[in-house]
Amino acid sequence: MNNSLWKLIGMHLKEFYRDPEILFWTIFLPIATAYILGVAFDDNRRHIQKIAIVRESVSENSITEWQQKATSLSARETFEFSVLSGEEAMLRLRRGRTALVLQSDNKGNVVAVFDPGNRESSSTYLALTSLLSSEEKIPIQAITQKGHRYIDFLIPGLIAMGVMNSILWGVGYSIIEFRMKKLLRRLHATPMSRLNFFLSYFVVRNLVTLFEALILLVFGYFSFKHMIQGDFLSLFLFFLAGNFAFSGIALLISSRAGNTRIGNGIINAVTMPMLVLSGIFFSYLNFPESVIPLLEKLPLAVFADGLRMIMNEGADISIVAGKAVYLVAIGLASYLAGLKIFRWN
Amino acid sequence: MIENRLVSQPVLEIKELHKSFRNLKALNGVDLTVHKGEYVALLGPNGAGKTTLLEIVEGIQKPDKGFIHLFGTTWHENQKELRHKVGLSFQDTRFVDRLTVMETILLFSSFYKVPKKKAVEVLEKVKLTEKANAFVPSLSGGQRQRLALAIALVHSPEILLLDEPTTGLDPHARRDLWHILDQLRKDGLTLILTTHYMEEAEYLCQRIVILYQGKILADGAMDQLLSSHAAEQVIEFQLIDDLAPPESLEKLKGFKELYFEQRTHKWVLKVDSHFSTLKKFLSKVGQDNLRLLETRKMNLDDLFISMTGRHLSE
Ligand SMILES: Nc1ncnc2c1ncn2[C@@H]1O[C@H](COP(=O)(O)OP(=O)(O)OP(=O)(O)O)[C@@H](O)[C@H]1O
Ligand SMILES: [Mg+2]
Repeated sequence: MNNSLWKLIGMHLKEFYRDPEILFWTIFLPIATAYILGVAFDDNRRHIQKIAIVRESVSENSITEWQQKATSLSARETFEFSVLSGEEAMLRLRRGRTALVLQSDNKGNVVAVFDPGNRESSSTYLALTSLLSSEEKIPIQAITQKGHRYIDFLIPGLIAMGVMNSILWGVGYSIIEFRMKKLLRRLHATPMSRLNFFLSYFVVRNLVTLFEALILLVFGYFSFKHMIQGDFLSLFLFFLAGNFAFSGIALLISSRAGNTRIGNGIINAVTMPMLVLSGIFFSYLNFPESVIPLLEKLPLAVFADGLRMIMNEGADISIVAGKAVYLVAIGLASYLAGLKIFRWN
Repeated sequence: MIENRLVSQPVLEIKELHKSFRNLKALNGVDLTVHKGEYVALLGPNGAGKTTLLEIVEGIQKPDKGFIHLFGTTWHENQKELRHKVGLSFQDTRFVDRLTVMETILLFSSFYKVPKKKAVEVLEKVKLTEKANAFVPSLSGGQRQRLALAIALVHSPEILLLDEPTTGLDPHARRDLWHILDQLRKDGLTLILTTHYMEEAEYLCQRIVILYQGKILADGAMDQLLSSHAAEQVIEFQLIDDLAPPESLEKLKGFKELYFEQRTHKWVLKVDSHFSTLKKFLSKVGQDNLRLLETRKMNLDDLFISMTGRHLSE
């Protein structure tokens, strides 16, 4: 084999291992992601199918009967039954906290309520019915009511994901690129206000994400008759809070990286796990009970959950105020931390 | 001028400046005082510390120790004021690809709150008016340097600090830039530039500072520097059949130095005056053995070689 090929191969390898940051992001990150996903989807061990039973729809006797059945089924450790009020059960279904709801219809027969468009619900339904004898078959009552379907769960999540991606790539990557081109230090050698510099990113990104969100909403409306239950002002304010959080995070993660390859790694390292863990496509409640309190606090999860509450449940800003404040606080803390360690050189 | 120097406070005053990167001494005790209206060239080979010195003056890097005052104040005390008084261009900066020349200059002028009229004037000054609507990546090297200069000038600074403004330009583009910088002199501007070209230093600057391994080796006007080193004249020659010159050359009157220059394949003989030595030189070498003979005045590079054994632009 010729020498220059070896030299070229050597060059690429050196580029790689002499940049320990890249090494970290490219080797450590996939392992971490694989582990996390493995935990989430480990069907045999951990994946619990959550089923809600509506209390009002069954008599005292049948509740006991259901509970017995539930326990006998739960012995297989794949189902978790909870007996709830009808309202609570539907709320959980809407938020993805339960895969399906069992209740009796007006004739007194048990039906399974869920959106057949939701894969997770469908698979839970299949798993459940496969355990029952054929005469016990539970008919499906498909959810058609707006705000309750899988698509209603999905669209706010997609909006939140769009905001995260758009801002982390749009702001974070751009700052790192400016640093690499030495433009950042040139700007810093002028009396340019730092606040204006970062504010300009925030303003532009807000416009972009707003536009992206509108496209999704229009698409959702025409294709699925997805409608916003809450008011637009609340939605807008909460949206801003989410934008603010991710702008701060973008500044923090781009505060030191000196080249775009490292930037790529860092941004992926932040966005990928959040995408997987924050309940965008499926509820994060599938993860082990012990980590759920942490997952609930991921900025993307808070943002998506809040958007769902406004868009699907008609919550107004006062109801999601806690989440909004949390997002603003995350944004502010990241911004200040990022500014403190920011490298203009 | 002399009186003025005595009464007026210097624009830049540096004493015993040190800067290290790990165990590498980039600046090793630099003293430099520059007065208003002076054009100073910082010359030195790669790694001499030119950029480091300039960036410390620009407030971009911090010295490890030493005294540095710019307009009687420091970056620490008066960052804002100094930013308005200093115009600069770095050794290499890329601007925003998706902006035109005009948009770029307007962006920078907004940081100094300078009206658009001024930006247009500056473009005129650096002869980029025709390129106002061109995108930055489409500019030639020379045009790009002029854009960098325009940005450095947009707020009418009192001192201009340029790091290798003409490196990589062809001689024509280099001369264009010299003329522009020459024109600025009448505004009372103070200029410090770094360069590898002694012609540039000689053309533009009445004062030349030679930096080598983080120290100032020489500082003064060109004539002063050359005459301070006694040798004034250089005889360059080539011999047929790769002959070595006779050792007796060292006994010539006014002999200073003799060495073989690899780059040009010439022997270089430095003497006090070639008028008095040329005849003796010819008789010692033997006219028939000469393939080539040139005489010239000593230049900065010769001076630098005799001080360090290296060329200025290596
Ligand atoms: N950030 C840095 N980290 C480590 N070493 C540095 C750094 N900046 C400069 N140096 C070293 O300091 C010395 C002086 O560098 P400097 O850039 O000032 O030289 P220069 O005279 O501008 O050279 P050139 O003509 O090549 O631009 C060099 O040896 C260089 O390697
Ligand atoms: Mg340099």
